[in-house]
Amino acid sequence: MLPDPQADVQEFRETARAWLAQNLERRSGQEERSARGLTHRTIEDIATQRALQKRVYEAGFAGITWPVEYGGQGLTADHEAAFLDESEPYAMPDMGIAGVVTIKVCAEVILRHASEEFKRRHLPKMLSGEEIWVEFFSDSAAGSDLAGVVTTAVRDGDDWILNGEKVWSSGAYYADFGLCLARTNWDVAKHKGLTWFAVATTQAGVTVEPLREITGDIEFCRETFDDARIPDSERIGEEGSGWQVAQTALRFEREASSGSLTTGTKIPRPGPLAPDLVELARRAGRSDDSHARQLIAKAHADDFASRALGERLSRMMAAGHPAGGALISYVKLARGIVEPVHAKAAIEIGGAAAVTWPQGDRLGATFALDYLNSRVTAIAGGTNEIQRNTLGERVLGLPREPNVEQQLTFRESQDRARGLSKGQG
Amino acid sequence: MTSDFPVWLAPEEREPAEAIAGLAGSSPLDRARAVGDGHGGLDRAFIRSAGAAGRYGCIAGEETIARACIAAEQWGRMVAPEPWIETNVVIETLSRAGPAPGHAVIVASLLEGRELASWASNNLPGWWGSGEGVRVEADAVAGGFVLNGETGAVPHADSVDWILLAAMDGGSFSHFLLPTGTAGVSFEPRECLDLTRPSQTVRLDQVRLGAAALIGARGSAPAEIARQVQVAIPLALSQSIGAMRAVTEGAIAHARSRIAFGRPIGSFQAVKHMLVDASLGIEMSAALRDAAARAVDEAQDDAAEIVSMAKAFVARTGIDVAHVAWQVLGGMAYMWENDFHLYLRRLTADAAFLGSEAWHNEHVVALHERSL
Ligand SMILES: Cc1cc2nc3c(=O)[nH]c(=O)nc-3n(C[C@H](O)[C@H](O)[C@H](O)COP(=O)(O)OP(=O)(O)OC[C@H]3O[C@@H](n4cnc5c(N)ncnc54)[C@H](O)[C@@H]3O)c2cc1C
Repeated sequence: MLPDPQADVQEFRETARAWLAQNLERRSGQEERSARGLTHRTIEDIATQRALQKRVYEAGFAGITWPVEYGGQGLTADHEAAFLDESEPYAMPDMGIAGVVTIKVCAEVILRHASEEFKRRHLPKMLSGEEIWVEFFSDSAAGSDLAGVVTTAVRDGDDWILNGEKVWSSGAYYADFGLCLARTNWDVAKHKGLTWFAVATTQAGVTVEPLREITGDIEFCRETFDDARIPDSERIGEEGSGWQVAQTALRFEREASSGSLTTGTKIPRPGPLAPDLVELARRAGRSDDSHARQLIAKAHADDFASRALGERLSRMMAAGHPAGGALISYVKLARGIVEPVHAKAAIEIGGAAAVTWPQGDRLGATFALDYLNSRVTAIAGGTNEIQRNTLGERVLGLPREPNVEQQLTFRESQDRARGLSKGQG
Repeated sequence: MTSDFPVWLAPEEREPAEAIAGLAGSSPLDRARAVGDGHGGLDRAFIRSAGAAGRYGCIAGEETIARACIAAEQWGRMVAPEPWIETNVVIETLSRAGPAPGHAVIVASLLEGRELASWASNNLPGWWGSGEGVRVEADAVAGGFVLNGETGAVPHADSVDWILLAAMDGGSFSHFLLPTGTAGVSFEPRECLDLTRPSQTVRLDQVRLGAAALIGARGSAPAEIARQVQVAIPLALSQSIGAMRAVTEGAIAHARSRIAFGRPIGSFQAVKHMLVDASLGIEMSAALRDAAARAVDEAQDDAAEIVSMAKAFVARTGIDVAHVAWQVLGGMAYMWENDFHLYLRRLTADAAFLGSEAWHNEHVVALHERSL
C-alpha cells in the first residue's frame, strides 16, 4: 500500500509543532525589522542567529523541499507550507537581508547552474547558517546595465585573477561569500563575455568596506578585488554564459523583492488604516483635516491594491498568461511607485511632527527612517524605469529601443560611450 | 476600439466574452454612436435578443457579483449604451424585496430584456455628499402614494419602463418603482459629457402610484441602499475596467504601428512608460474590483470599506488611463470619427457617478473613525 501523502504531512506538522514549542521562543510582536531597521545588525547578533539556524537545520526543518544530497529534506511543498504555518508564531532565525538573499536568490542560482561538486560543497552550509551569501552584482560602474560590469577575471592555470570593484552589496560585512558577476572577455559582444564566481569575503585580495548609508546605518558595502585568486572550481555556469545565469538571478531577486507575491493565492484584506499616517495626523492635530484624511485613504488603498495585485497576478500566471513570470515586475513597479507616494504623504500630513521629534522617541525616528527607505524598492534590484522597459517589451509587446551597441565588442562600446559623454556625437 | 493587440482572457472570461461579442447584429460601437449622435434611443431589439440569450439581466438566483463582473467588463469594452447596471440593480433589489405580487413579472421581463429599468443613483439619502440629496416626497394616500419633486440626472430616464427611486416618506425614506408612463411624470433633457449615457431630470407632479409601487417596507430604503451600492459599484468598476482595457489596447496597437523619427513611437520610452503605467493601473483596478466583488459575495465585514477603496482608486485611475491613450493617439484622438472620445467621455463620467474619489476616500476613513 502506498503511504498516504496527506497523513505524512500531518505527521510532519505535528513533529514540527512539538519541536518548535520546545526549542524556539515565541515572537513578542515588538520585534525590530530584520533589515533596514533602527538597530544595526552586529556580527555578534548574526552569530547568534546562525547558531539558531544550525539547530533548525539539524532538526530537519531547513531546505524542506530541497534535494537530500544538498542538505535538504526532499519533501513536498505541502510539507513546507505546514512548517511555515506552524512556525508563524515563533521567532525564527533572522540573518537580515543577506539571510534572505542566501536562500531566495543565491541558492536558486547555484541549484540551477553550478556543478554537482559545487552544489554538494556549498548548499548544505547555506542551509545550516554556516555560509551567508550576498549579491556581488552591481559594479560601481554598472547597476541597471548589469551586463556592463567591468570587474574582470582573467584565467591563470586552474585559477582566475579577479580585479575591480563591487558596490551596494547588502549585508556583505557579515557574509561569507559573494555571488559575483565578472567580465571574462572584453573582445566579444557585451552580453557574451560574462561569467559568475563565488568569491569568499575573507580571502586574500578581497577588501570589504562597510558603507554608511543615508539612513546613518551601515548595511551595504563596497568590495575591492586586487588580484584576488579564485579557483576555477568556484565558477558557476560555463565561461561566457554569465548573461543566461543572470536571468535566473534577476528573476529570483525580483521575486524576493516583490514580497507579496510569495504569499501566493492568500486572499489579502485591507487591515488597519495606514497606522503611520494616522499616528502622524494625530501628532500634528490633523485627524479631522480633510486633506490629511484624503491622503490617508489614498495611501491605504494603494497599499491594499498592491497586495491585491500580487494575488491577482498569481492567479493570472496559474491560468497560463503568456507573459508568465515577467508579470512579477508589475508588483515591483507598483510598490516602487506607491511607497514614495506614501512617504511623501507622511511628510505632508505630519508637517513639523514628521521632520523633528523628541530625543529617544523611536516612533518619530521610525517615520524618518521609513521616509529615507522609501525609494529602495524604486531603485534597488532593477529601477522603476527598468521594470517599465521590461513590462513594455515583454508584456505589452512594444518595440525595443534601437540597440546602439549592436555589432560592437564590449571594448568598442565603452570607447564609443566615452566619446558620447564628451559630446562627440 | 478595435486593435490587433493580442488580448488575453482568463479561462472563466472566455465563454461570456465570446457570447456577448457574438450578440451584436450591428457593431456595438454603432449602437453607442447611434445613441451618442442622438438618433433613436435604445436599441430595444438588441436588448431583447441579449435578454433571450440570457446575457442581459444577470444578477438573479445563484449568480455571484464576481461572475456578473465578468460580463460587465465585456459590456464596458464596447461602451455599451444600455442601462445595464441600473437594470441589474433593480432586478437585484426586487428579487430581495420579497414576493410582492407583480414583482416577479417585472423581474422576469427585465431579465429577458423585454423591459428596461433605471435607478436614481444620484439621489440616495446620505450618499455622495451634499447637493445630491433626495428631492422627492411621498405622501401616503388611500390605496397608494402621491409623489412630488424632482431627481438629479437619471441615466436613460426617458427611454426606460421603470425607475427605482428613493423618496422622503415621513421621517424616513422609502423606495418606489415608478412606471415612467404614469401621469405627472416628465423628463427634462440634460446635456451630458458621456454621449452614450444620456441622462434626464425626472419631474414628478402629483404622481399617483398604487401600493404595489412601494418596494420593501416603508422606511426601509436606507438599509436597502447600502446593499444596492455594494452591488452596483463592482459592476460599474468592471465596466470602467473594460473601457480602460479597450482604450489602452487601442493605444498600444497605435504605438506599435505609428512611425516617427524612423521608429515606431512605442519604442520611445516616454510613450512606452506611460503605457506601462496605464496597464499597471488597469491591473491594480482589476485586483481591487476582484477583492470588492469577493467581499460582497462572501459578506465580509470589510466589504463596505473595500468597495469604497476600489471605487476611489478606479475613479482616479480610469481618468488617468484615458488620458494616457489620449496623449499616445495624438491628433487622431481629437477626431470625432475616432471612437476614443466615446471612451474618454464614459470613463470621465464613470469617475463622477456613484460617488467621487474624494467622497469614497472620506467614507473609508470614517469607517475607521475609532482608530483616529
Ligand atoms: C539599498 C540598496 C541595496 C542594494 N543592494 C544591492 C546588493 O545587495 N547587491 C547588488 O549587487 N546591488 C545592490 N544594489 C544596487 C542596485 O541594484 C542598483 O542601485 C540599481 O540596479 C540601479 O543601478 P545604479 O544605482 O547604477 O543606477 P543607474 O543604472 O546608474 O541608473 C540611474 C538612473 O538612470 C535610469 N536608467 C538607467 N538605465 C536606464 C534605461 N535603460 N532606461 C531608462 N532609465 C534608465 C535609472 O532608472 C535611474 O533612474 C542596492 C541598491 C540599494 C539602493
